[in-house]
Amino acid sequence: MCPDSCKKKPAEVLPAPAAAALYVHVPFCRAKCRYCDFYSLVAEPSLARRYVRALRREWARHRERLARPLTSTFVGGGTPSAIPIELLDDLLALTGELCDTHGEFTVEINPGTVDASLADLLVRRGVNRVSIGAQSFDPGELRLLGRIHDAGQTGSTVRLVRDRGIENFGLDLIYGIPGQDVSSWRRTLGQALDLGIAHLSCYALSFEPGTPLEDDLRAGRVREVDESVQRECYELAIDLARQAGLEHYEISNFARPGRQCVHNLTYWHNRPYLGLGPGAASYLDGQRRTNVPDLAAYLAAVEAGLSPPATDECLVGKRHQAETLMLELRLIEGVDRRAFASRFGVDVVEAFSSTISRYAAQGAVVVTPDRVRLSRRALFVADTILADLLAEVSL
Amino acid sequence: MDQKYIRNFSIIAHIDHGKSTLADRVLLTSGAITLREFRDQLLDDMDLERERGITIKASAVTVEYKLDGRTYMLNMIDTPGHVDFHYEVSRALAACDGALLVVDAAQGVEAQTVANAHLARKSKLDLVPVVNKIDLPAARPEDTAMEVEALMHTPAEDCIFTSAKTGAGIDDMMRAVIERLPAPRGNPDAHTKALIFDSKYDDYRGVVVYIRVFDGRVNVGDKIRMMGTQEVYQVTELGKFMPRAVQADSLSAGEVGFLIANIRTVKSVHVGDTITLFGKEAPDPLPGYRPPQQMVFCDLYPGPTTQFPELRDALEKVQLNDAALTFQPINSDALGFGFRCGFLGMLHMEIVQERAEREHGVEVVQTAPTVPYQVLKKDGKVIEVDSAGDLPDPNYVEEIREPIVRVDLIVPTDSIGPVMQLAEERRASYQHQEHLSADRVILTYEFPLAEIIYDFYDKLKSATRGYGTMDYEMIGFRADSLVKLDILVNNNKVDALSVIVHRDTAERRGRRLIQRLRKEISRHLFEIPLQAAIGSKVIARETIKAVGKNVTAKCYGGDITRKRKLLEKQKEGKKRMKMVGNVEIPQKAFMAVLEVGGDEE
Ligand SMILES: Nc1nc2c(ncn2[C@@H]2O[C@H](COP(=O)(O)OP(=O)(O)OP(=O)(O)O)[C@@H](O)[C@H]2O)c(=O)[nH]1
Ligand code: SF4
Ligand SMILES: [Mg+2]
Repeated sequence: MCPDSCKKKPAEVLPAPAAAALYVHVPFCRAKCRYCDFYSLVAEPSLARRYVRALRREWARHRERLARPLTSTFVGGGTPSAIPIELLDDLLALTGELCDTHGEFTVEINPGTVDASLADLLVRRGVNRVSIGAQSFDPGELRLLGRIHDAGQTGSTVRLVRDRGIENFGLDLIYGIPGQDVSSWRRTLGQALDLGIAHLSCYALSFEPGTPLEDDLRAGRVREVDESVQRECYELAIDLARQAGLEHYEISNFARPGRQCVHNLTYWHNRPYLGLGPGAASYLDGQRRTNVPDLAAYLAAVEAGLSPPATDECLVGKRHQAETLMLELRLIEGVDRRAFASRFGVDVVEAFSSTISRYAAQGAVVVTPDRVRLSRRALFVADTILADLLAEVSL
Repeated sequence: MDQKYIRNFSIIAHIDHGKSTLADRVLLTSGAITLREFRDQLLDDMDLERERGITIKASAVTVEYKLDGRTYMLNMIDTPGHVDFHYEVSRALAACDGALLVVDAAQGVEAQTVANAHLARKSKLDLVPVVNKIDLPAARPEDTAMEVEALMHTPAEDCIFTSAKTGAGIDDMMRAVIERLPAPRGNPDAHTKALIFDSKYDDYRGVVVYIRVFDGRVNVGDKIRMMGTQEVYQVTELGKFMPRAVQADSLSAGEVGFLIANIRTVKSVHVGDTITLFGKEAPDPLPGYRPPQQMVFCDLYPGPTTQFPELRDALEKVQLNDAALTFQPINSDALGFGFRCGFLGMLHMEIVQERAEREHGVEVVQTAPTVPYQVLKKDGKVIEVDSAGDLPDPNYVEEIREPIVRVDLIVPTDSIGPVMQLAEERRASYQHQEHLSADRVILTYEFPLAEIIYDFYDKLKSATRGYGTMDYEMIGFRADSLVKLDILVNNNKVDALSVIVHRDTAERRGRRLIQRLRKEISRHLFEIPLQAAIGSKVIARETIKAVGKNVTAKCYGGDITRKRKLLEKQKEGKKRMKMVGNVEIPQKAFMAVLEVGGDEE
């Protein structure tokens, strides 16, 4: 529940414009990748059917909380394309039927689950952006990650969507895969960029507790890629993406001008959104709510007409400011000082002076009259700085 | 009441031998409390005492007890057993005419048994030995009684055998208190002399003074004078803790009780001072006692610098009930404003810090404790130095003297070898040994206090399979070949990390110390060189690498809470930090200097 402090002082929780971003979580996959700790189950058609029905009910309860028109809708997962096509059709129709327009309408797709009829469906339902989980173009790396597709399928997925007029598509790639070296990463980047993508996300592999890949690491079956190699990979991505005309706009993200992911920008600017499905998070009226990642519990609650089980928290005052900083500093352009001041009534540089001045002196944070941002060399160690900013609050 | 029917006694023993539990029994058997009110170690009423299961502060209570048709008034003081609070015992004994010396029947005589018995004998008190915990399967009551005989040169038959747990022997013990301990022999008609043996601060009543009236009497309304401070007060309330406060109109020769007289702060009450009547002053005061001696010093800094005033308030409040704590403001080059605090020992230090934090909500960063040193300067002056950082430049120093303690170690005969070896490693000089029984011996050594203050007790325990116990007493200062070891973090000397060490072990200590620091200080955005130096000579170096990668690359969808928590976790356990230059030094790093033992990597 919201702490008392925030009930007593609702003014502090504001400003909270109605959400204009919608996230729908599809908690199913064809098979579980070996590194993945997202909430998803291996698809079972009957559950998927119940799930889409439940989603309809949850959506009906909350849709009034969304402003129209929506600026973005994002259907992610899991693997939205892993459920039977007629169910995906229902699901996409669902969000469409209740909104005037989708704004940016993204669906995440796995190259191993795409065919012409799926691509047709996306177009028919008004999807105008596709995010493709390519991860790598190296067969050995894809195997190690436990992906269900090969590099060729990534290429054909791109062709399928582009042929139908969806120009706004992006790829996700992973670096820091055990055994990967800089030259292999260079090849993967090259092949991705050659596909004429509008958007690129490059994530460093993390070994999440409880995943098979982490077991391998602990048992010594795989080795972590050296930090300096990972840093080189990261720098290479920045350079090659720029050369290909993609602008670096967030720590891990690159886009052609005008093709930044509107939906993710909502997160990074700490603006409200509604999330549906088990494991999905919402940020409404100053309150964060994360549905418990448990499909059975979700179904049981929603089918009984209740809200799905969730955990929530409500950050006010300086903690709210720190959280905003934590998010906005991920953007390459950083924090807009004027916007921050009009939102919170304080200058960010004053409010977090001890951490900001310390890191500014080290050249890790750049402060200008208009903005505060991380320097390029600080991006790869951003969390060290962000953790200090957050810690400044708890004191 | 006629003094014939009064007994004033303390319960003294080694730690955990059952003093407080026996006190519970006395309360119960005398009817001072009912079975329903009964709870374990009732007199240990501080939260910390209850949590740790130890007595920190002596408590005085009065009970009425009927024996052979007569009612006696028994004033009993339960004392702490831990060596840090030895001082409390000596205070308690000064207010008494006799004591129960309690010995655990399973453990036998231990180091504080010996120390407390000596103390009682020095105060010329009669002792009744009580062998407690006879209900334990491992109890050896006869052997224990023999050890008591060896220690006290009184026949083993004089021991009373009890179980505070089952209640066995308690009546015998009560009878012995009345029949074998002397009644007070004060003169009720002489000039009033009352000893202040304790005081505490009560939110409602102000300062409550614990007194033992030796001669004369005090009445409510009397004007009194403290003979040491010369302060004059008017008595507003008198009474006894039974254990609830029960008011009285007067307290007369032989009696123990409390006195309230509009005294604002505990500081204006000197424990050991004598109270007399204003206008009818006694010619000379009672002997009193030496003020407590601080054995260890450390600096306390507020976690966030802005909390300096809160920290001062907290220390002042703790001091209200803890006269043995000393503190004074200081300013460290590296750490800013804080307090240099003096404590009776490590346990006392821990307790003060915990109370400041828990009861007063300040976050405290603490430097490693040090013993006090004396420095003879070239100009012939001797100064006290209670922090290595304050040591004068070596050019001005003739010699550095360190505190020496006489240590009694009670150990099983078959572990004498390892114990002697341990003592040698710690620069001890052997004095003598004495057999307590066929298989236990008292070894007496002189140690530099610095060598035993921290982990010595643990080492002793492992050298003796858990059986060894120790007690120590300050005997003076002695010069040795001591040097200051400085630590440089990122090329800045951090005064709070300096230590005074013996020249022979300086290099090893220095290397070990910076190895520890390398582990405790987290990686920063830049490389951090660490150096240990004596004067200008660097004796060891290490480097903390810069952070290579620390970024949450992937997006957790909109689950910002999870992300934030992951970041907050990075700082967990590093809460108490101090910025020194651009380097964050966590609390644990300051304590690293204590890790004298252990092997190098
Ligand atoms: N079995 C048994 N246990 C006892 C007896 N007397 C005390 N204890 C236990 O011994 C432990 C220590 O007892 P305390 O009364 O706190 O000892 P203490 O001497 O007051 O200890 P300090 O004040 O810390 O020096 C407790 O767990 C008691 O329950 C006894 O006669 N028999
Ligand atoms: S497809 Fe995505 S969500 Fe599904 S298991 Fe693989 S990485 Fe996880
Ligand atoms: Mg006790």
